[in-house]
Amino acid sequence: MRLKRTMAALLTAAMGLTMLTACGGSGGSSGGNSGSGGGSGSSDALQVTIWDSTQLEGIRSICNEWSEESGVDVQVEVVNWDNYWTLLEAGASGGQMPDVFWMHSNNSQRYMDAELLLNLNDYIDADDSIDMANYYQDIVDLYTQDDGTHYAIPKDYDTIALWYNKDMFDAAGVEYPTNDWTWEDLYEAGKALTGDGKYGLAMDTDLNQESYYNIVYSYGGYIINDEKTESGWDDPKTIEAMEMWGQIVGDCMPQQSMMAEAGEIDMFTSGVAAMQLMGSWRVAAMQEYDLNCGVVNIPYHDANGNGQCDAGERVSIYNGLGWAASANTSMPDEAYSLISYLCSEEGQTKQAELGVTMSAYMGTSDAWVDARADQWDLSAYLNVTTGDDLLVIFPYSRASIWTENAKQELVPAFNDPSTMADTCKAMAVSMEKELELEKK
Amino acid sequence: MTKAKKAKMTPAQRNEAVWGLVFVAPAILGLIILNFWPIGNTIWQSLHRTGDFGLGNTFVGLDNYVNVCGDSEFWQSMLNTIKYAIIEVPFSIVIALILAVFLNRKMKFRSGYRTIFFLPMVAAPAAVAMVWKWLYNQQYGLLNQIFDASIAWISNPATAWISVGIIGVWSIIGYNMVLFIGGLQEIPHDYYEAADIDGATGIRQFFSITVPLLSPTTFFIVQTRIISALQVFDLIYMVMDRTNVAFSKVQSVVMLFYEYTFTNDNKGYGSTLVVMLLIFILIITVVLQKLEKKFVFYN
Repeated sequence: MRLKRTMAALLTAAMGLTMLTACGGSGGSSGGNSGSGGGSGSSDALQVTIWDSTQLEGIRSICNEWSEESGVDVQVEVVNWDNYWTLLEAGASGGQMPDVFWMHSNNSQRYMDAELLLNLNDYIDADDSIDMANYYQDIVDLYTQDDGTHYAIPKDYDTIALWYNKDMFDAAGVEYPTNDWTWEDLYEAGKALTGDGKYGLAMDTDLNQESYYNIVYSYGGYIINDEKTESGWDDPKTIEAMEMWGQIVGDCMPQQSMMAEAGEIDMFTSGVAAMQLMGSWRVAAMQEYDLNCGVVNIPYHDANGNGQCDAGERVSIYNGLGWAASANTSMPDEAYSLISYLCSEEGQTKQAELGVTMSAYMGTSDAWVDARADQWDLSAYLNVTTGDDLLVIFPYSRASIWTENAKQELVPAFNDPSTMADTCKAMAVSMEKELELEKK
Repeated sequence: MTKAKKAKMTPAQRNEAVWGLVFVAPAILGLIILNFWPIGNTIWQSLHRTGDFGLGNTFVGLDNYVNVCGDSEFWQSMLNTIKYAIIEVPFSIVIALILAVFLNRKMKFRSGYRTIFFLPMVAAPAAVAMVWKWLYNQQYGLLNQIFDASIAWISNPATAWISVGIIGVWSIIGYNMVLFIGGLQEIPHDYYEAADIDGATGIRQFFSITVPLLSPTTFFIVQTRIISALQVFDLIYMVMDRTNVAFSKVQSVVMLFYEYTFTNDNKGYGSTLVVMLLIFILIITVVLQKLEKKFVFYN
């Protein structure tokens, strides 16, 4: 009897202990960056996490080359966009971030402020293959603190171009788009193509970077001012541009309810929508479809009415990711070595040659156009980076919550374009409220 | 008797009580660590303006609560959640009860039918939602193909909540049915035999014998279904895209909580939203407990 009791007591104690230690484990690491063995200390492979599965193959093959040189294993993992940030956020508060990962302008400032990213300054100074002057300044700035500390090195950049389905244009007897289209040309052709369950184009409210942001800046409007204190949604030029976009939405696109349910890329690839403004990062995904497509420059706004595209009349929003490392990685030297390899002229050229994306290292992206030359002429993506055309960095602020909110706030205006001006003014108010909250 | 026990405990009784506590300790510890600690933490966070990555929280008192109460988005999603519960709870219970009565009789393929009705419960909720989303799709959906229509099932702000509620009903019927069958088998056959002799019809028997004697089971189902319907998240999250025209008319409180906590990284405000929901559910539960005494018939 006594033995039984002792046994029972021991067992209970053991159970209690396992529970306590299990919780102690997670409790201990939730102390954040205090632990010395943070990061993924248990395995000796470098953990790399990205969010775009279409780039996985290319990134992996460059990482493998680095592995052969350095003798350090690399594991590349893909987590989709939404879950990527949840994972990183959880990792940041729980101390288990991947070693090397992508940074985006929407979130970089918060991660830099919390010093969760590895300070790269000393590494860059000691490294001959990296010179920050070789990358677009706007993109470098995204990942640089005001005091000049670099937390990531630019990986790529992206611009926008107009894709069209040649078969649908032939069937409707409409002339193909050209490199010199204005937004009005887009509207007229889109209207002619719409009917019988076919549409000119389909672009949901969540495609800000590829659609309405471009027209806003080409009309001379803006989304956020340089000081990140004021919204540009109520700027008269922004509203003028958005009303033009509203016309396109109303006369050339399916109903908003349809776009939200079906997905605009599916509509383009299934021959329901004839045109699509697409970012250069989508090109890799387009390979999966057997479509007879052409690619031309993004349309411009003829502000002075002289019939040609002058300086600043054609705008493409651009953005670029950065390669960053975790501040508490157990292998900072290896992590930087990989980043340096990926961002050096050699690595960037390889990225372009493999057709992964355009590369952030200036002058290496021609290889990207060449890599796809047998399928499409992608020079439209590079045309906007030269001459008098304007590249505008993707509007962002510290938390950029208004970016996500706008996708929802615009829905009623896409549903009924006559309410566009009022919607824009209301968005300016709610955006400035968010900006106010960010400052606190 | 309990009073006497309290006043004086024999050593044997005390010994028993101590060991009793030791044996429930794992369960209690589990509850404290996995339930009560997070609840306390959530309430604590709801009183703060939370900083990035859980660092630098500042105490703001009841500010979050004041903001939530003045937030039309919160009240709208509260209304949406209640509307969802109004569809899901009564319909799933009535249909499940009727099915249970039929499937409780002797018939061919009885277990086969039971399995079929229970299947939605086995499928992952996210998978169920994805399939329904495609059935409802305006352009390519099967429903519109069959009826040769172009109905915006889940994109019409006036009716989308019904469409979503139907999915909820469909996925929970099997579960309720199994509980009802269990309750039905508890009812002694003598009552039905006596009623047969008195010449009562099947319908009369159903309302005079089955319904009252089943009321404890019914009450249990009503209570648990209301609570989980008010916490609905995955179903609506999977079916409704954020750019859906009807999104704001369908979004539930827990979805709003998810958006604030994980998308906007505003954990203080998110915590406040769920604490408000918790309070609401507590009130509902208290009311239900009062009603239990009035309407539930224990043998």
